[in-house]
Amino acid sequence: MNKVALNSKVSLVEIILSVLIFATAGIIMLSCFGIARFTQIRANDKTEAGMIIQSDFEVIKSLKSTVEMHEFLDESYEEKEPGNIYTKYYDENWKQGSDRDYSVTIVIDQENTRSGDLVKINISAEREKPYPFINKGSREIYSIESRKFFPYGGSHE
Amino acid sequence: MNRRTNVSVGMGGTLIITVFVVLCLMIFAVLSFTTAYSDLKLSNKAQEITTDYYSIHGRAEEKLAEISDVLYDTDVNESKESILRKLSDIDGIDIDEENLNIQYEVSGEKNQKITVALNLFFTDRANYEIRAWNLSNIELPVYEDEIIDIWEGID
Repeated sequence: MNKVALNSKVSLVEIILSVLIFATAGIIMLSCFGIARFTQIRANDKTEAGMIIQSDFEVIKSLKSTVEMHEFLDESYEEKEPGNIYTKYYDENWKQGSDRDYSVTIVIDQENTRSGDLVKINISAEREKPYPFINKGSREIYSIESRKFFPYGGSHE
Repeated sequence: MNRRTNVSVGMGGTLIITVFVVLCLMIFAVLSFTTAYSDLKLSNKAQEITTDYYSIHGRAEEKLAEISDVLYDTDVNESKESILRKLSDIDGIDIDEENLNIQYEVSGEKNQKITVALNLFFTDRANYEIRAWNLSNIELPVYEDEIIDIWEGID
């Protein structure tokens, strides 16, 4: 029968040095893993927010009048603030519900022209808390600004 | 028969193993960051193109509002020529007086443009209908033709 004996000749200095190297590298690695994780979350948030914002924008584009637009916003957005500001909230998995980890806000600026309503629409998505490890001041994830013209009597397409 | 094998880590062995493990973990950390950063760059690029698209869409809608206002302000008895003259004052639109078409383009910064074509019609008053609202590239990449000699077989 073969027996393997581990004949350790490790000095205390070597152990201390190994622990020090491991600790120093560990701090750097942990922050690197942390940055990677929250960078990935940020990238995913951008994609999710982009899809939600574009979807809402395309719905507004397909509507025929500002009345229809406000009906849609009243139905699909949770809060309405003065100045035509609508907000809806999402949880951390981007499901619309009770948690308020993310918010999507739409600001409507209505300008009446002689033949219709030219509406300036700004939709933005924000994260309620800033991302840890990523030193970015702004909590804004995604923002789009455009205009939609609603002619009186409907559009001819 | 018992055989005894002595394996000695020796002086410096622990340090070498530690450095090796740390290096491996470091490589994993950098790789995971690189992957995440690539995803973020892709998302940013998609956002830039989407923002640009909605910006040019907004400008196209503004131009449409301008045309609509001019047509709305016309009198019932106003002649076509007079209406077309008023429309020609709007910047950046092409008017085909023969076929009563209006066309305009709005270009973005990300190699995309929206081309809008309107049909004018004059019933009780001047009005328009949107004939086309197309998104396209400003410049398409040019691919050089490559002629390859292919064996044509034996007669």
